[in-house]
Amino acid sequence: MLLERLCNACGLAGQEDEIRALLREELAAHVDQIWTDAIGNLIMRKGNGPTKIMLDAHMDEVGFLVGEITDQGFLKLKKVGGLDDRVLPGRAVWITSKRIHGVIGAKAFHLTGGDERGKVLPFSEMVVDLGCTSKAEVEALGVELGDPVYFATAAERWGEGILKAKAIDDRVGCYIAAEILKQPVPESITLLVSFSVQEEVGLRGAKVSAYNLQPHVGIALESTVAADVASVGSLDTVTNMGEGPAITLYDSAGIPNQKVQQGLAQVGEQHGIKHQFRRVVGGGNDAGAIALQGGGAPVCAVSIPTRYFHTNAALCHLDDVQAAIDLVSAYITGLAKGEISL
Amino acid sequence: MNLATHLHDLIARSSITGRERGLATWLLDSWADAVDEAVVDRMGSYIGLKRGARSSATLADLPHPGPESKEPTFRHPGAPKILIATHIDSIGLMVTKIEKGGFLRVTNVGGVDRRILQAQEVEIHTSKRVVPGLIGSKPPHITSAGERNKLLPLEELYIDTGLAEATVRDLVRVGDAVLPRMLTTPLQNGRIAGRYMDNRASVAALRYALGELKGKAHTADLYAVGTAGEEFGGLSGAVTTTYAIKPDVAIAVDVTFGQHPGAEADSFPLGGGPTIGVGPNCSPKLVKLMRRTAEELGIPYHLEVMPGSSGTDAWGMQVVRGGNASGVISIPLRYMHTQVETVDLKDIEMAGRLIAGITERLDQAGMEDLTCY
Amino acid sequence: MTLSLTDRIAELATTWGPYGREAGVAALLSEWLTPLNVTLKQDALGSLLATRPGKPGGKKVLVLAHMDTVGAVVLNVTEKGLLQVAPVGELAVHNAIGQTVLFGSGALGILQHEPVEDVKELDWKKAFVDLGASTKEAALQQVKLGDIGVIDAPVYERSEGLLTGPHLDNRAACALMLHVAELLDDSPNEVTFAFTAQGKVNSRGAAPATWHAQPDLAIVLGLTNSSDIPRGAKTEVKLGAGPALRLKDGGWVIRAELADDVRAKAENLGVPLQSEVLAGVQSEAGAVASATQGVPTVMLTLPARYRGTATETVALADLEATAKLLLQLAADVTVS
Repeated sequence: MLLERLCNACGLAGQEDEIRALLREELAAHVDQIWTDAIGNLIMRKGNGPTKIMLDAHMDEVGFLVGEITDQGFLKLKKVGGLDDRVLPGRAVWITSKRIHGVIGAKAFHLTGGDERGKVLPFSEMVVDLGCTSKAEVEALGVELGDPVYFATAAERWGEGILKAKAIDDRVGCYIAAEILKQPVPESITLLVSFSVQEEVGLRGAKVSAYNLQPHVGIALESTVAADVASVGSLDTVTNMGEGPAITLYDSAGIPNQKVQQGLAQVGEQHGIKHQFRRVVGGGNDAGAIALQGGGAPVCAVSIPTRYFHTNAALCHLDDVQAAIDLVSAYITGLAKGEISL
Repeated sequence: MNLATHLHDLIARSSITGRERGLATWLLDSWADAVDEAVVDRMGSYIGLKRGARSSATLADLPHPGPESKEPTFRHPGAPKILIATHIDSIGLMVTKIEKGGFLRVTNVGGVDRRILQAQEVEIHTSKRVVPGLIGSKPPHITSAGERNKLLPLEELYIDTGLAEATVRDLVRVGDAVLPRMLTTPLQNGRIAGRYMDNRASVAALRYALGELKGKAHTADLYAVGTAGEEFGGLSGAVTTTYAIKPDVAIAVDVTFGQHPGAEADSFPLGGGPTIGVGPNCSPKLVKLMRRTAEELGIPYHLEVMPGSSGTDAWGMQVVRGGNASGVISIPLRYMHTQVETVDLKDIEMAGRLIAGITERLDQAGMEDLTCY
Repeated sequence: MTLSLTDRIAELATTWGPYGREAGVAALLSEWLTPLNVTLKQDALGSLLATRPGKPGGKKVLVLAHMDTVGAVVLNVTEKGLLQVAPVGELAVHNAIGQTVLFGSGALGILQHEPVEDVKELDWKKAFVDLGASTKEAALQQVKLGDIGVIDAPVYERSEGLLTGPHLDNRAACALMLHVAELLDDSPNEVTFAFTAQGKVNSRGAAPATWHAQPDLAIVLGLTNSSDIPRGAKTEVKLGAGPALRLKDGGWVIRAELADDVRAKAENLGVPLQSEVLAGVQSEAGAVASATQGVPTVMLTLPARYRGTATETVALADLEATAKLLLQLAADVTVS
């Protein structure tokens, strides 16, 4: 499945080459035009109608850069994007595009003392062990400062209808956009998809895309937190996995355009496509940036509820993914038919 | 041009964020023989243009006209445009209130280090004259032991000018700039300490690069920019000049942490050459060009890993108006944001040679490769 | 017949239009602006731009104030029909408790809080809106998830020319802008009055509005906390002592040459002008100044007491003084 291949591919902010190549190959036959811009956003156009719709999905994932190679041949890391220190010790990682294996270890529990045991291992004390015994040996492998480091996990099916993978945030958005690009586009629509770079470090790629594309309406396709798990009350789940894609009510970047927000909910109800609202104020995504470029644009985000995102093993429900494809397609059709206004 | 003298001249001028016009205007004169044209823009940034060999670019054409082309462009008409940004503003203090007795309360403009403020000698730049002052606080004899180990919040410090309240009220207005009083101190081995090496060291490096390029033919148009507003708030001259110029390549030259006892990690040795940034803010192909240039010119350098924001003008510039290939070159500096910031003149020279070398190597073909993903 | 400035403020301040939901306010302003010699335009974020033509050779001036207000957004509904809400913009929970709140649907609710033993326990997570609905379904008949409630209270004039009520921040500034639009005649400059949407969180409307106007000079209007109440602002700004020229805030610093220019003009006009330097506060000035190739930006603020409550208070004399200075600044642009 394309989604699994997308999640297994690796791409940190600024190093999205594998994702770009995969999407190009997958979609070349389905779109009218493909180009990249000055900072690496991959843009695809399909259709040539008067209404320009921009879909955005970011290609980058969270991970690390090699920050230092110690004399003993260990690597110290720097985080790219938001990562929770508690989930890092004990993880297997891949270094560089050559996928050299490494592990993030932790001092044996037996050797810890005092209150060390109850505390989170500080990130500054974590190192990657490649099995090397000297700096020279690491360098001989071709590893240098600034090389990317990724969680080394492969996508697999989980439970009932669920995908487990790294980088669901936001390869799931790339997948949704890709599937929509494979469908026909209504005559009155120009569909512009920005597979954007550098979301995780500050919504950077989308700024450039939106400025260049100046869409009439923008939709960010994202992955968002699902906290429908043990020990969380029903009012605090933010989104629930399996209950459909989440339409943003309000996030830290601001508020989505009301017409787009309501239009998405409207087509959902009209066509019986499961959807929910993202019930929290924090967090943000490319939608916040797209809205403000140039003279501005009406924008909303549609997100896939994802448990444990920004870790080595996130979960999302494939029914939600399909519902998101259906919802956004129905929105585009609704807009073309004039059932939805802007 | 004598590098140390030029650096001293740059540092002698007050240019805290929002008040850069004086320094920018001085550059118009001081750099006149090193560029083909120059202006100070409406936000207080200096823009100098050194034209490519066959280019007819002129600053009169700025800002680059909008609206944007809706279709993708694959070719760059005219010479490639390279923008080198060195911010000319600096951190400082600003008067917020005149208290009874003529004592002045202040707030910070930019990241001022509270640890070094008590007992610092300062100069208050009023509309009438420069007034010397001293940052005072309640004396230790009437403070408790606990208080003595704590840093006072900025709002509890004050400036004592020794002047009568009436005189102070006549001279000083709310909003006046306050700078440290120290200029430069020469140290051993071509090292030099002083206020505002951040970022006048980089400004000096840019001037050095212009000197290196004098009389040399290069394809690219070089926009040598002294940006206003880097240290604080929403006034980034790098963003606004990038908008006006719309460059193909945008490189920030700034300072980075110099190694000294207690500061080893993420720091770089003085005299060991500039650093070249790697990370999302730095176009991978531009980094390659920078490294190749340094190697060809025999300039030592270190890679500086920047996992997120580079904390420099390049962060803003990269995503302005359609984006560009951006990068960061930094000069190691010890004791950042104090009035004894210390740099090595050799690093400034090497950074200058690197900038010149990159400019010379940036031709049309290279440009197209840089923006090809 | 034109309404008085006071009536305008009162009508604007009691019109529902929180952050991101400004259409009603924009409609009211449009109605008032239509008779004037202006071109009206609404941008994608919902900001309303009214442009008065200039003369050949004139400059372009942008006068800008946000028109949205703070509020409380509905995130969940309990089985018992109570609304779980979160603040939109800087609305402190202790200023909202006990207030009647109005939703865009017209529904009214009261904002209340779990009983606490210590006021330090007050928290938005424990606050809720009671619509008088006893089930989730009944509540959802009145409001939808994402709806925003705003404080519903009257605006009235008090002694010494003071005006009190909710949402004077920033509707007093909007009324002032309208007042100036009416008074402005024969300026050589093209003047755009931008009533921006989404100002209360991250000043989002300001940059796109500036992009549309492409001005040579921008003047941002807002309210500022005065220093003349217990634990007031740590500045010298007083209510009734004229507008304050903002020299710096948490995200922006004025260009020195502009500050000099405005101070000289105020002095020539005999308009009292205060100065303020703030540490943490954010405003729209930063977003305006850094838009396009950079915009020389002035920010004038109306001193106010009790911002963010149902009894925000401004002095009418400060509005009149600000209007006088604004007219001069819009007509005579001396900085390039």
